[in-house]
Amino acid sequence: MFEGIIEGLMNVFTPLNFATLLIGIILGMFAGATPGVSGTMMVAVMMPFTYKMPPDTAFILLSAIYATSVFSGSITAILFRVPGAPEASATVFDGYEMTKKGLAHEALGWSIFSSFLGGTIGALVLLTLTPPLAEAALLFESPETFSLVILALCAVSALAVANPIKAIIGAFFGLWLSTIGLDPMTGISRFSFGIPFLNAGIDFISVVLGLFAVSEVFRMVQDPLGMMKITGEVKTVLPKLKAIKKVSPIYSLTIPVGLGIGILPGIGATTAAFVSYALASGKWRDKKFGTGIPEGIAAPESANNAAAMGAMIPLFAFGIPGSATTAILLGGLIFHGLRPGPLLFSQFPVFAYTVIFGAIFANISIILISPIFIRYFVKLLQIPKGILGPLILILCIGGTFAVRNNIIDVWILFIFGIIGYILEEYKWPLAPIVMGLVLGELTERNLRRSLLVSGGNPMIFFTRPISGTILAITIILLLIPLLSKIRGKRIPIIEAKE
Amino acid sequence: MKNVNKGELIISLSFFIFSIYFFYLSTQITGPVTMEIGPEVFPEFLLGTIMLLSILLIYNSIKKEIKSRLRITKNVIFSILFLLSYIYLLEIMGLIPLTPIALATYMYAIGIKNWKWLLFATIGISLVLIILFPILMLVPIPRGIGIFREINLIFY
Repeated sequence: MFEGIIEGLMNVFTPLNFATLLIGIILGMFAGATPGVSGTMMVAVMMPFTYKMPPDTAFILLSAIYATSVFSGSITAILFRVPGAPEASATVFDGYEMTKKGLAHEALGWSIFSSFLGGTIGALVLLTLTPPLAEAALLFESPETFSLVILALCAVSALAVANPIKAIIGAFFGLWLSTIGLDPMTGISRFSFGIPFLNAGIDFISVVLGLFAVSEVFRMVQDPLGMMKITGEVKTVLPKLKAIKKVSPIYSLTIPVGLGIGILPGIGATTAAFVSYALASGKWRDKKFGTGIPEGIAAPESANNAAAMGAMIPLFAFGIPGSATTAILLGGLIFHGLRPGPLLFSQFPVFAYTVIFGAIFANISIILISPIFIRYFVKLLQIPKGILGPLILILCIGGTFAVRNNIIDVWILFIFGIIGYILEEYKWPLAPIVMGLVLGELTERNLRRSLLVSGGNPMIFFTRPISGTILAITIILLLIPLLSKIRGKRIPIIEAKE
Repeated sequence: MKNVNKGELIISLSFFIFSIYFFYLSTQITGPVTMEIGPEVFPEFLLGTIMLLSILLIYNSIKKEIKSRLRITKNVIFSILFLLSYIYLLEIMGLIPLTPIALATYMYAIGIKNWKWLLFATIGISLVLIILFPILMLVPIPRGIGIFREINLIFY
């Protein structure tokens, strides 16, 4: 294990990997900070470019994009009251108020420091907690794995959105998409309409790029000349040690809360930011949250970055993604021939630790690189969305074609772009579709294996201790929204997401 | 039916029709008789659940007033038309001259009228595309047919 840790640490600093890490950090910051371009979209767009890279280099790039995009959404939230990414929505409350008071430089400093602290602690927990969890997961057999996948899908559906029915339909639709092509157990073709190419199944990149990138471009071009106006030079001033000490009780609450929410499947960094902001403003009522105070930035920014790292824990330990972006990362890992989960740490320890250390350094880099990045980024905001949108479309087309060199994938991208746009306009969550698609093969394989062992008796999922416990938690999770509806109260997690 | 959100209703009905159709197709899949659970069972379970839940959504969309509306602006239609024509013509024309012509037309249509921006973006994006995919990543992007193939062979 220690050899893997040391080798992983050294591996980050090879010239190729370190250069890739820097590129990932810049791309992530750019994606998070540009309104309309999310970290999820950037991870999806960059995925096809990683196919010819060694897996460790590829995932250093993708995890760096993921880690830094969560922070940079706060830049435009503070300066313009426009969150660059949904995760920064709660930062608007106090961030923009500080800008109005002429304290934008301090607000940016607090955002940088809080994101660095939350993200780095989150990444260190990822490093220490994941290997023992993965070891425990070695006890999992088919019924347990199936139950865990069901828990993840139900958590996405029941807790993460306002309308669970839409989310469940989305998850099941994603699972169904994964059944297209040859059945891995019998070799029988399913839903391929006689098209030989479809026997290989639907490529998840076309679906993900269509749902998250193409649909977003349709929204971007509705304001083609849209750009941010900035007057004067933007500076950042990091908080002093004395001020940090004053705010530290906030961090001691929000970072563990953010981590906990991140670990739960389906509840991402956005919810973590809102819940932490709500908890902090409730606990420290004398602080006057919402009037432009550093604590109002420290709470959401430390929590969302911790949550982003927390979401990687179930991905690495169990092979179950905790959010839409980690679901895309899971798809990428599978494409590179790796199966995240208990065996990843024993079979590919150097790879696993390289990616984790990459995430740690990406978070540390926030405090080193972002002050320079912000100074130049505000100039890039002058590019109209009518140019950024077509560029993204062209990259999506090229990227999708690059995966299997077939135009059918590009048509699938087009179809899912339209589907994604229509569904999002009617507030259908897209993350469950991606999670269903990525987890589909794992779900079906373990369901069928379990039933094969039990002679077709579904009680196998309930009578085994671990599987039964996981399913009991699933049922409780499903009942929470129902019970809160009966009692006429909305639970804060759902409230925050809305 | 005054308060019915037509879009919600159409989406729910689409899921319902989709699930019925593919459920029927699932019943046509036959697996080896020795299997406890054949290749048709999992899709049937998924589609059956989607079918039931979409009925619930149809009921909800009739009963509840939902304010969201689909924005199909002219720029969304231009984007769809751009994608449709670009993907269709890619195999016939290759990247050049399709990409600059299609991009310039698309960007002008959605409202980028500044010719400097148009020129810079069209040439810039086309160059990025050619350098990134066929040259650096060696992706066999179609070169088109006839005269277009000859033109594209000059670039990649």
